[in-house]
Amino acid sequence: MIKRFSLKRVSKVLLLFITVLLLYVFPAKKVYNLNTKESISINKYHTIYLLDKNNMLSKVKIIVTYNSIDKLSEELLESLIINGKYTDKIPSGFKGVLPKNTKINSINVKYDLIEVDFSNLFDERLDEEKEVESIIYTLTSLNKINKVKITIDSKDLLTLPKSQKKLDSILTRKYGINKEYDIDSIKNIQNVTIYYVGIYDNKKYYVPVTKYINSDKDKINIIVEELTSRMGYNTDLISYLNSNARLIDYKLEDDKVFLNFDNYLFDNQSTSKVLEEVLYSIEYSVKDTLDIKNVVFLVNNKEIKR
Amino acid sequence: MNKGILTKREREVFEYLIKNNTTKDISNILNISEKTVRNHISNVIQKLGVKGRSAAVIELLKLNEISL
Repeated sequence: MIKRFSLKRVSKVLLLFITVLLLYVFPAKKVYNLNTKESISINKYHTIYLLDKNNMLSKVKIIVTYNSIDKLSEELLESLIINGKYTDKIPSGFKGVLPKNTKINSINVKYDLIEVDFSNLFDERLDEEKEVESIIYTLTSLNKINKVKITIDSKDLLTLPKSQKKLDSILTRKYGINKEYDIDSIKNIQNVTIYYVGIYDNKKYYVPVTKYINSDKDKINIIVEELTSRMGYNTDLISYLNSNARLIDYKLEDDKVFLNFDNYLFDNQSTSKVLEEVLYSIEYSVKDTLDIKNVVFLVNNKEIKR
Repeated sequence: MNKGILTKREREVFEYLIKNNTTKDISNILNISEKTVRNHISNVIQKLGVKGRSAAVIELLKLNEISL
């Protein structure tokens, strides 16, 4: 009897020990430390430049996981890779631009310059120019990043493999994107970047086009003139700025510009509302072309509140 | 032939051309004759296999041989 009593006690203790052991190995709740360097963002979006259905690089937002600039930039670059590990983040209607075997070896951030070392960056079946443009525009969308340096297996990328085009070792948005050349004279050649609107599946997005044209006007007036031409150079790109809209005058103050339009900036004269697509098209175009940080809109000298 | 290679002088001539300088202006700036300036322009047009100065400028911009 004593033996049976001891056995019962031993088995109870053993059962208790096993239960405690199981709870220790498989806890009911995981605790995340939100103060680590690679802390996780919840529902944070970031800009990336992907190809749309017309093979135009387009400004798109994707959900991102990381906050720190090195991890975030890696995440964005990985998202540019065709069938890469973040393919599920890519919105429908868009696709990656870097070859599927692209490897990101290292990322180094120095003030406003980001240096990225790749392997297998180019594939002769793909558009090398669009690859470089998407890398530059995506990385310079990061806060405080203005310059990009691309190396391939630790060697500076100074020439594109197919076209033999020379590259500066430090790249900025001055490189241009979706470039179009409409020059018939060598006089008054200018370049501006215009943000048009594209539509896919009833959703709107922005498509930047760097245009080289002949014009004796200043860049801000060229931008407004281009956007008042209702259609972009191809019929899939749209500008919502009324063709009658006129820029009365503008003022530059440090890194801010004040744009004063007439009533035709309004979508509807009775409600005095300006379409979001109009404001963003102008704002993005001016910021990219002129390296301006803030754009303020006025109609007949009265500021539009956004 | 690698279309991207200009001589230093050819590049200088086109950099001045796209800044609205005439051949006369360029000859004065570079201290060479107008005929020499025109020869440089013709050589580049021939190298690039294009017709005319505008087409040459477009090609040179695309190749990043010159910039605005």
